[in-house]
Amino acid sequence: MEKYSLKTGLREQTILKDVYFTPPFNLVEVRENKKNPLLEMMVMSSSPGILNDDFYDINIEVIDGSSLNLQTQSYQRIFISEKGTNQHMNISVGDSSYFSHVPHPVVPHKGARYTAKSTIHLKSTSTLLWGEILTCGRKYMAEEEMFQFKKHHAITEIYQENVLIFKDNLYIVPEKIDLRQFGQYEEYTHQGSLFFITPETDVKERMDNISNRLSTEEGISYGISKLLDNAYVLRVLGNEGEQLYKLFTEIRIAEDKLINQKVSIN
Amino acid sequence: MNKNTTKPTELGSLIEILHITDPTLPIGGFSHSNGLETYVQQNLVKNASTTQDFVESMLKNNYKYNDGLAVKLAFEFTEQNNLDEILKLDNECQALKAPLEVREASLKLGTRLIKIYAALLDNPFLNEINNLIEEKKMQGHYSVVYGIITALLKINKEKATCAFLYNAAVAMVTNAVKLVPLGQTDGQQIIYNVQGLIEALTLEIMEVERDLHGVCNTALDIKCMQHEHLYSRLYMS
Repeated sequence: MEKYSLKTGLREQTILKDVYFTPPFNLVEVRENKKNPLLEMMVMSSSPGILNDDFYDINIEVIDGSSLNLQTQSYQRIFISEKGTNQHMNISVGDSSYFSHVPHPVVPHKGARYTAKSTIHLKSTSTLLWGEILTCGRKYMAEEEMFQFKKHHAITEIYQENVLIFKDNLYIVPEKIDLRQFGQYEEYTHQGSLFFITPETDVKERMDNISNRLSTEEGISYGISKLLDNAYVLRVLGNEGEQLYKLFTEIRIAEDKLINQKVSIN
Repeated sequence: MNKNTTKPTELGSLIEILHITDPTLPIGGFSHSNGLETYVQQNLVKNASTTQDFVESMLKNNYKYNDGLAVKLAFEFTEQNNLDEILKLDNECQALKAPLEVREASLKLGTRLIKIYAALLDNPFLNEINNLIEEKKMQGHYSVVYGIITALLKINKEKATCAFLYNAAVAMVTNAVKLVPLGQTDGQQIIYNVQGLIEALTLEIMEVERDLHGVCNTALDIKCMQHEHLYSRLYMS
């Protein structure tokens, strides 16, 4: 089992309190402005991707009052496997804490079988920005490796004060389900979902801003809807992993900035 | 005026199914298109053949893993008298339905359905569910409430699920006839054409793994979210 875990700490700004990792992982701090309260970490990997029988076990604890952004270094490749590869991610975000995570798109190669389970526990005063992007595979290879993977099953569960408030169950088995059908991927090859919640704030303005921004983008289809007064879900279909990743990262950076400003004022 | 209660018979059970899936049951089923209106306005569902494709894909990819499976699960939990699992399932439905209008549609139908049957049946278990919904301790999603009631009525599980799918297909076709628009004969042809699929899916639903409940239909979710912003709307979802 391959692992990494990290726990934040708090001084004038959020610091890295505990960190632990096994190969192929390495975690490094990438906060550019050392005065910023938001701790920015990057997870690096010496492996080209998730290989046969890999089981990634990831644990993140964002303690009360702290703020963390976790970045990835590159696209997450999932290699062919008979038994299947797994990833478990457990995250807890404390009172008045912030966590943002928009990893690079996942690229399942021909023959890949992948199961992921992400469980996130929030408090009623936590803020979370969580994005996930799945590509169809190595689309631009000479042989056009599109939807050649066996299975991709990613379950995300977000709990607030132990009540399930959002669940995403992404189950793609290209051999069984024709993705061009109505309601699936239709004319697209990539999909992304982004969830955001923040305490005691109507997210209407944010949703309008995102809608306006996305309406200028070509080659995508998107929808954004309120899950709660203070939470929205954004879903996007497109044909380019980089495009979706840039859009989600833009939204993430905007929220990260707000955290840096807000905490500085306090 | 009370119902003459005799021993449950095959015929009696048939009448119960016909009643709960009757399109004239006043729960407001035909005010919701669940995304179809967006598909029609975007000219994607535009004739009999695309309507049939739409209905088939919804049944195979959406109902099988979402509301159809929730009916079966709620039915089983009711038979087991397992209120905890029912509450968990109902909350899971709430968490899975990302588009606001779809979530609200399911709640509207569910809460109206239970009001009708709580009054008709005066069953202690159903009354408890009804109270939990009134006290806002439970949401009351349509598929869950339907599963509970059909289990209490002692309708056969496969038949209850099959009737639910059939009702969903009729609702989609009825909406398409109005929206596209299609001829009445076209509509009936589609309903006739998907009967075999409904039968096959019913049996498949009985075998679907628990952790496949709520499989995401990304494009459908997007169309349902876009519905909130359509310029003119005949339907609430």
